[in-house]
Parts: sequence; C-alpha cells; structure tokens
Amino acid sequence: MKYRIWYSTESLADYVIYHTNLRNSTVIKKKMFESDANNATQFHTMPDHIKQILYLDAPDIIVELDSEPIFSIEVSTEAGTGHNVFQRFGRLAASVENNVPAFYVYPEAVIINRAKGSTTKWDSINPLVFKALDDVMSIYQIPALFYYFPSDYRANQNPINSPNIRKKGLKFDRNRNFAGCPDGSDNEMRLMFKAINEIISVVKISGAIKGREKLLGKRLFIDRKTFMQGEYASKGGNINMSPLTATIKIPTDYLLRHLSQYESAKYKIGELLRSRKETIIYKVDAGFRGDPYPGAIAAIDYLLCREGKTFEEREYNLVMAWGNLTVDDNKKNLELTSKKSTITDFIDDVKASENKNLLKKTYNQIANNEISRYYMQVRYGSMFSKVKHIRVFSYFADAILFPDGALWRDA
Amino acid sequence: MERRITEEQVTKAILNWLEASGWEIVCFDFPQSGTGTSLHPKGENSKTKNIIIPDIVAYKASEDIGVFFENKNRFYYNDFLKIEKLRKTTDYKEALSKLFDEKLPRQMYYGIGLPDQKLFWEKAKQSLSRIDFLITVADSGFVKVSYTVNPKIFNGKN
Repeated sequence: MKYRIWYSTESLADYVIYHTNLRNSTVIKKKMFESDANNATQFHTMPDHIKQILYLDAPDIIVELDSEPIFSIEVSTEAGTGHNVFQRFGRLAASVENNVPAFYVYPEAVIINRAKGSTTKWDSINPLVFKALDDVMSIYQIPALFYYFPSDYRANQNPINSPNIRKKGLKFDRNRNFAGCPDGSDNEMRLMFKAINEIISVVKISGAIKGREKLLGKRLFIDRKTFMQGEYASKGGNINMSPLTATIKIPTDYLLRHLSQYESAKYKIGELLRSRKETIIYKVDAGFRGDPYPGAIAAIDYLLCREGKTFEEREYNLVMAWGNLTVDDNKKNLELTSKKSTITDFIDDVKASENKNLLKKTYNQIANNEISRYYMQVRYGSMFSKVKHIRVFSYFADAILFPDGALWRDA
Repeated sequence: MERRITEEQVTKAILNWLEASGWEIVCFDFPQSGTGTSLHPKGENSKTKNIIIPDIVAYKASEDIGVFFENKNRFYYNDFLKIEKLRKTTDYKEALSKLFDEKLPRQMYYGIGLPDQKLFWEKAKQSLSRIDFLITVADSGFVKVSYTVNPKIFNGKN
C-alpha cells in the first residue's frame, strides 16, 4: 500500500504524518501545485485525479492511498466572523465534490486589535459554518468535519490575559519542524488525528471508495457530527446569518423576465433555469473580485439550494448578482445597478487567464517543456488555467448578473 | 531536476539556528503558513496596502538587539530594496515596536535569508550595501552568516 501526501506547506505534511498512523507506513511527500493559473510550469505534472480536486480550489493537504484520495485538510488561522469563515470553503468543496472526506480546522476565536477605538477583542466564529458542513455531509454522505484550531479563547475570555496574545491568541505547535501548525497536544487536534486514523483503518480494510461510504456510520464520526450540531445551537446559529443575509429568494419568472432582454427570435433561455420554480440570488454589492465570495457561494449552495451531488440537483437556481439589486414585485422583474462592478471585470479576468494558454501556438512555437502542458490544455481547454474566482463562480452559479450584462447556463 | 530548497525550509532552518543561539522568536511567516504578522506603515490602516509581513523577527534580550528577516528560495532584488527601506526610513518603526511591547530594541538589524547557492551569492554581492546581513542555508540545513555589517550580531556581544 502506497500513501502519498500532497502538500502546500511541508510542515503540515510532516505534522500529519507524525501524529497519525501514517508514520508507520511508507509515505511519499509531494509538493502540490495549485492551478495552471498560478503554477503554469508545474501544474500539468500533477496526477489527473488530484487535478480534478484542485479544479475548484486547493486544500492544504490531500492524502491518497494507491492513487485514490482518502482525505483532505484545510487549516486556517483567520478570524471566522461573517463571510470570512467561508473564505476557505471552496477548498472543502473541492474535496467533497470529488467524494473525498474533508477536515476543516478553524479557530473558535482570534484576537483582533482594532486601531479605531484602540480595542483588543476576540472575534468569534460564525456558527453557520457548522450547519453548512452538516448539510454537506447530508448531501455527500462522507465526513466534512470541523475541528477548532487550538486557542486561549475558552480559558481566557479577556484577550489581554491570553498567553499567546502576540499570536492572535492561537496555540501553535512548539516543534519547529511543524512551524505554523496547530498545537498537536491539544484535545481538538488529538480528536482529529483519531478520526484520520479511523479513515486510514477503514480504507485499508474496505478500500478507498467503499471505505469512504462507511465512515459516517462509525461512532467517532457520529459523535463529531453531534458535537458540531451542539456548537451550532449553543452559539446561537440560525439561517439569518452571513452570508445568507445577503441572499434573497425570488420566483424564477422574475429572473427569466430579466434575462429575456438577451432573447431573440432565434434564441430562448434554455431549460435549466426554467426547471426550478424559485431562485436564490446572492447579492454582492462590491467591486468584482475573489475572496471571500467564492467560498461563500459554495456554502450558500449547500445551505440553501443543493439536494444532490451535482449542481443539476438543486431545489432552487443559484444566481450571483453583482450590484445593488431591487426586486420589483409589481413588474415581476429585477433591477440591478452598480458603480463598482461591470461584466467587463469578469470578461477581463477570463481574457487575462486565456492569454497564458498555449492552444493558439504552432507546434514549432511550443518548447519541449511545454508540450505536456499543451496536451493537457488540448484535453481540458482552459478548465484549470482560469483564476480561482472565475472557476468557482462559473461552477456554482447558474447565472451571474451584472448591471450591464449577464451569463447563464442553458442546461 | 535539481530539487531546490524551499522558502519554508530556509525559514525553518534559520528559526532553529536562531533559537539554538539564544534568540527569542517574536514572529515568523512562510508561504501558506498562516502565521504572519502584518506591519502597517505609519498612518495607514488598509488591510493590504503597503503592509509588510516579516519572515522572521527575533530578539536577544541579553544584548537588547532585534533582527528582521526577509527570506526567499532564490535571489530576489525587491527584497533587498524592501530591507533598505526598513533600514533607512521610520515608516514601519511604530508597527515594529508593537511586536516588542511598544519598545524597540536598542538596535535593530535587517537582512535576508537565502539558499546557499553560488549564483544567488554572486547576485547578492551587488546589493550588500542595502542590508545588514545575509544568512544562507545549505541543502543539508546548515546555516551560515555569509555577510554582516557587524560580526557581533550573531556572535555574541555587540
């Protein structure tokens, strides 16, 4: 049996190997190159099954057994207020969309110093993340488990008393070989290592594909789900929290009426949008950009729209609207205005990615070290070479609206 | 293809070396580590504009001196310019002092960490006047002081 661990930071790979039963096995460590957009010289060398995970976003760690991914880990040290806790959610989505169990490590709270008012306080996590993960598990029937990044939060409610105030109240591992990793002696991390060991044990016996399906029936995973549900309740979690506060549900007729401006005698909007009576619109009145919106739209999909493993299996259409959206119930239509975003922003980002592609070159123009990348692009086009937010938005959103243009799926 | 030592490995090797020599690590960062501490220039509060995230800041209490590192896995001229700016201006002094409980050490030194490769050294030699020290890390993890304005920084009494 051959394990490979794909990593963004080698410290985290070493940390996971050291603290789990992987240390008793032969494990090959490999640097992960996240996309063709930001690692044009290396990404094409990644195995195809890893590329498929990386299509949406790159988790910090992917572990595979005999070329079958068995789990991924995403670790964040950021304050998880509002939208921010979902900023890395695309990385988790990348994993679960490929039926790979995922671990999400995030601080319960982080100490923030605000120059304005000279305040020092704990910024605590938006508990909606627990429901989003629970919904992911219901949809995919594989673990998507949350563990707290160790911190002084529970022991020192007053941040000034935190022994790790210089490190935002977070407890990092003291072993320099694991620099930047969560304190491995913390109970939350020990529970995560046990869960990883359980996955290793189950896939060893049942194989990666059948093993993954059995995991949620294991006591350890049931208990963690219960813990997460408890955290959601005890922290006052409800569906009127960010990013859901930025969504609105409308009759799909309103959307179709808005899009009818693009119809003609020769073209009608296709069947996909029409197949769902209602539509969820994610309103983003900001300049067009990436983080935190790619992760947020993934979370909105799992929280409100999805009822199956693919985007075709949705109760509601999922639409992103860039600008100030007004719903006119009398005219049964939408009005979108913005001084911050335009369809040109989207198109320019696509064009910028496309400029890096090789497909317009003649054979003589392609250097030998580019041939394999060229061949990948022949097969996949620019699938992996667009920037992350364009990949994620176009994967999750059935339509994207701007004041001066729109994009949508017909089927 | 030759496997080049990464920025993460450079930083970790220097962290170990500093700690073994009695330095206290104030903060550190390497790509994807999530451990970085942002320094804002005086009078600016933007989340991202003009911020500097030091790769290592360390303190030696016995001599009340501090060191500031920018590390890379290759020669990178802009880092030399960044270090020069830190040495010659006071733009980041206020932010830096917060790392030391509002009181900067008696003396701060600013420098670069790089892999120990001849090519990088040849390029770095042209820009040594911009920095206080150059620390290099061999593939084996061995750390060497390749250049310093003051040999006593890393060798005891100042």
